[in-house]
Amino acid sequence: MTAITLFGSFLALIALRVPIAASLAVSSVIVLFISNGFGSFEVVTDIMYTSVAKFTLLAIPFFILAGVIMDHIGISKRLIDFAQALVGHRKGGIVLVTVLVAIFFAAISGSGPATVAAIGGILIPAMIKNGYRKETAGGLVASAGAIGIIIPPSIAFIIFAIVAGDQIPITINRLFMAGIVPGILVGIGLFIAGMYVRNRDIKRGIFNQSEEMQIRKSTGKEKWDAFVRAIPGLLMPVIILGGIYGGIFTPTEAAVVAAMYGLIIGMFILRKDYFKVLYKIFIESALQTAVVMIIVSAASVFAYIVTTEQIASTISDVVLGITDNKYIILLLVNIILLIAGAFIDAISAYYIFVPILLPIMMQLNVDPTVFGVFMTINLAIGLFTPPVGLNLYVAASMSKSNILQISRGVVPFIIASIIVLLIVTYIPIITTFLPDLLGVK
Amino acid sequence: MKILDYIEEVILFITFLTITLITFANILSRNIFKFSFSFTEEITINLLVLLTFVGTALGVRRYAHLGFTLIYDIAGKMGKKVIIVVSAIMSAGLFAILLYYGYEMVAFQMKISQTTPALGMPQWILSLALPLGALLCLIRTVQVTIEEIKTVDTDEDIQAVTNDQESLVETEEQKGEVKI
Repeated sequence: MTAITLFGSFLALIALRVPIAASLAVSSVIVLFISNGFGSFEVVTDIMYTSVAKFTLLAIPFFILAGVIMDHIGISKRLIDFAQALVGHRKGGIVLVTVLVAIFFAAISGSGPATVAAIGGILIPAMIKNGYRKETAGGLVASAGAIGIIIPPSIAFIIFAIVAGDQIPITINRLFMAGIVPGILVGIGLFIAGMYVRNRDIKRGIFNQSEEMQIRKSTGKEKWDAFVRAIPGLLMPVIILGGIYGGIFTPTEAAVVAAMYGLIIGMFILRKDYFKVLYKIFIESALQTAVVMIIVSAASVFAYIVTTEQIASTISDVVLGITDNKYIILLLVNIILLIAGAFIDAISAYYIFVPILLPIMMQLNVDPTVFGVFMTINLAIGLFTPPVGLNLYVAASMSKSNILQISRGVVPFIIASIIVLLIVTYIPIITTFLPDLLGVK
Repeated sequence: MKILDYIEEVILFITFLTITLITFANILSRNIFKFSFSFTEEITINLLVLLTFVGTALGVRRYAHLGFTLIYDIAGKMGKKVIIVVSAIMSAGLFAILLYYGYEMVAFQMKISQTTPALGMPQWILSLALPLGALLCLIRTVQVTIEEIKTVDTDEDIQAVTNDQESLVETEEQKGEVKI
């Protein structure tokens, strides 16, 4: 009964356009009011405060800050130029450039829509100029931008580690390392889908091939120059991941070092305009941080209710009562997460679903690292699934197409990602191989 | 309301900059001078609370918070107004609870002179972040609700009201909130 009140009021509030953070907190307040009256409202305030006041969470504002700085000082443009110089002249080269830059930028920023915004402004017009239809261009960038939450550093993994950490020991370091191979696999899937669409459109005669061939091969000198200009950006993931796995920094410290590094190279790149831009960078980062953190805060109250009201154990009993076939349950979990991911953001999804699903996964002997990674791929796919995927709206406005056109354009990329998702779900060694090899616990 | 923009922005800027510098200084000191002043963690995590709640208020003002607007988008003029008012009451109710119980919490900590474990600072000064942020959120919710109802009447796009589109990321965030 409590479960129905909690989830029912949550969905009703969402439908009424109440922001997700407020919906999570208000539905929790309703449940608390029904069971205890006004007496337990202090709990809400208490949890909303203490759930945010955590050192681990400090990584989030710093990674956001680092990403915003990189965007403001034009690092994404330099990375794109470098990738173009390397592979831009090949057939379908721009598809590869998009996927490569998305993976690379993901290693800096850690957020999906931010990656789309950072790379889409340049790559979508470039793809259209190369003969691709605008919905294909938008669809590819929307989906490639979502890889951001699978490739480390990833805000999504930080949240997963915090939520799952209440039940089992799991580290951010291990999840970061585990995300690399599956993230690259999604990238390969998107590239194959992009090439498929290109070849299909050529056959149908709606792809202008003569335009594609206009990019000539870069000379060695041009490649070198592009490389040098890209160095400040290329070093960023080296600092973050090298620092973490070299045992020098915790993830939070790596994040602040990345942000400081960005602030310092920003000074050299922007020179005299720097201080004007700096204020804007901090305000913009603060705003993005608050949007994430208020969801963390409110969702913690929701997760508290899910746990204390025994909702998690009730649901897990019901599910395991239906079937104990691991493969069927994994499939069901993926379907539920794909649907949920299409309607709510990743952060809320972790707080709502991890307390419920993790006990089931443990019962079935699913490695929690694998669970964390395939759950994150699910939520990444949700970022570009119609009708409400956040990345789609960013990409639609950038490609000057409407949401219907882009929803059609993104379908091949959704299919490719789901195939990779199933591979990662059912072959756990893909995820665990790299962290186990390097001994990352 | 311009003054409120300014107050929020300045609080956010100073808070964010302070958190960054303290955390960075701590890493330098630990790695170079082998001296850790991790007790400053106490300050940084409480400043993160301030950043979150004041940032949330600015987010309300700039329509930056994630929500699901599909039903709102297809609703008629009257339906839109009903949704605006109902959702505003829900958000405002939450902020009112946070304001009231946040104030109680601060008052209680003052009464028993609770101090922070590491630095011995009065806890209530740090805890003030919650009621202060909640108050700003409450004011902003009322402000945008009035603005939105007017917008429905004049049939303008919400986009036009938020003329703050300095960067792509911000534009994207507003788009996300308006349509999603």
